[in-house]
Amino acid sequence: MSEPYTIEAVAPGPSNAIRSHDHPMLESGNLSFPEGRYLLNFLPGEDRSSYVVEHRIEGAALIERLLGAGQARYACIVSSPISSYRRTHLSSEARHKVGWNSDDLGESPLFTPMILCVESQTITVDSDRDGVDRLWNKQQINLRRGSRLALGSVIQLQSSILQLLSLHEDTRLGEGQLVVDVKEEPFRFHIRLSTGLHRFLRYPKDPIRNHIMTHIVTACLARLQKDYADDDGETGWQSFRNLRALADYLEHKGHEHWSDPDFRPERVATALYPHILPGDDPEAGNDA
Amino acid sequence: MSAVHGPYKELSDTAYAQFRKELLRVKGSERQREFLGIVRDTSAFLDHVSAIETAGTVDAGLASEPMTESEYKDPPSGTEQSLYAAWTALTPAVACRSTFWANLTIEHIRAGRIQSAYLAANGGNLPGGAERIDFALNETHGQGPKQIDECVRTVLRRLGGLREVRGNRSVYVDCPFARAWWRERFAAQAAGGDARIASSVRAVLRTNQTYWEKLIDRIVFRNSTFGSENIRSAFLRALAQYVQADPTSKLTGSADLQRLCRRATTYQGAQELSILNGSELDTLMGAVITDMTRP
Repeated sequence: MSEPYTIEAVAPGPSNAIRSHDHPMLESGNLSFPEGRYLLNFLPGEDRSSYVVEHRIEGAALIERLLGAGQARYACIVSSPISSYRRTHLSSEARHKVGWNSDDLGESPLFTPMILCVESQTITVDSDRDGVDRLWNKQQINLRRGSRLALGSVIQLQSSILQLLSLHEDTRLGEGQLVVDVKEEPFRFHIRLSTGLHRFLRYPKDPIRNHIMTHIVTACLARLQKDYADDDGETGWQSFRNLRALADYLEHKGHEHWSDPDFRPERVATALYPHILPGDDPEAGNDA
Repeated sequence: MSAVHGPYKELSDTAYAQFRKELLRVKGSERQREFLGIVRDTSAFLDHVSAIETAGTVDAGLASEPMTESEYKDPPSGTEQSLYAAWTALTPAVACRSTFWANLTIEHIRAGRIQSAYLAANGGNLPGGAERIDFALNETHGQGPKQIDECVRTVLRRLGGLREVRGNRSVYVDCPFARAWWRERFAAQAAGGDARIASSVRAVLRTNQTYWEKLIDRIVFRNSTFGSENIRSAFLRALAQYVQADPTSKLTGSADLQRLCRRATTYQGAQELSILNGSELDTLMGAVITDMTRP
């Protein structure tokens, strides 16, 4: 759970949106910065209510220059639309912490990374110096406080199935037993564990924990196959944003998901989280 | 605000989701007909829903007095303020949950504050929920299954919202208790303790149900500009001020509200408004309204 995630928030691509704003912006589908890349690294905090976000801008000299001069800041918006929550975190450091109070959030937070101008100014941009497309060359632009210089996609760091499950002690269960329940507000797996099992799984270092977690993931995927294979367009699994993200994630990894007739929970679970045998390299074969 | 220890009581997420799913599976089914018959009778309804598991330990508190059907369906401003005052300790994380509001609504029925048949009331030609149920159950002209299904959906919406069908808006719009809480919360945030502003914002938020729904759509869907408290509050203050000065303004219409929201959020495409301070936002929103209402 404490593995960092690296995301390419703005990837190069075909565009006809070079002049869609009144200043050059580094964003998907906009080639104002032809060589521009916006990379992000997310590291989950131990408190489960924060992330450390690290922004990296490449190939966009104008933005890098404004950041260096203190005229632009790194920003990350944390939001939970279902509970009307949206808060902007600003930082002068590329690596900064974003946190939230879980009382404000009705679902796992969404993150929108961006670089914002914090001082109003009028400047003339130059293709060679600033890395902007030639269509902007020698153009005078007005930047206002809040002008978005770079804008990443909205990110929900819940595509991994491990992010969808929570572990809970259930003293009614016999030792060594577990039950997978599903909760829908928001969608998540609620894993009930016997007291000893619950205590054991709190310590992530033991290799046996990995086997148990693989078993749990198999059971979660089997629940999806049993109860969420159909989608009628109204009440089905596609109405849950994090299940759509999980399905996309599995597809991205080259696996079927629970709606596919060929879906085999144990095959997908062990592909994502393979059983590690004594003497194996723990990193080998793990595509999660 | 008193300290709350432990989670609020709510219906079990799994059990309530299953309950809704089974009810909505077939339009006009015998199961739906039976359910409406049960909703018609408060004690049968309480018996029926007692089978749904609950979780949590903390009671949220009840309305102090019994409510009439019309007062429940569309609470007057004073009633909404009283309800919010009783529930100020609730957090947004709880107040967006249909399981919480459904349980609280059932507790109101159990305590005799409202009757279960009120849940079926939906405006229109029929005066009350009981009449609507009777009409649906006795419909013989081919519209029966549709009428029955719509009536069941109304009951579920009133109970705590029907998010799987109506999206995030449902809790805010369809459940009268939740609607009261959120409306008062937005008014309190925009007013910042100023009773005069709170009153004018409240008046705008209560323009009508469609108006409220269109505003909520702008807040609770993905990555909305109006999710930011400072932007939303500045917008509401500017709108309330304008409407107070001109109560017959076209901005009291839902279509113009949507146009106004779109215009305000146009700025957001290139400029992140949430980092502006309160007076900058007030000026901006005032200018957006002036621009929109210019003859």
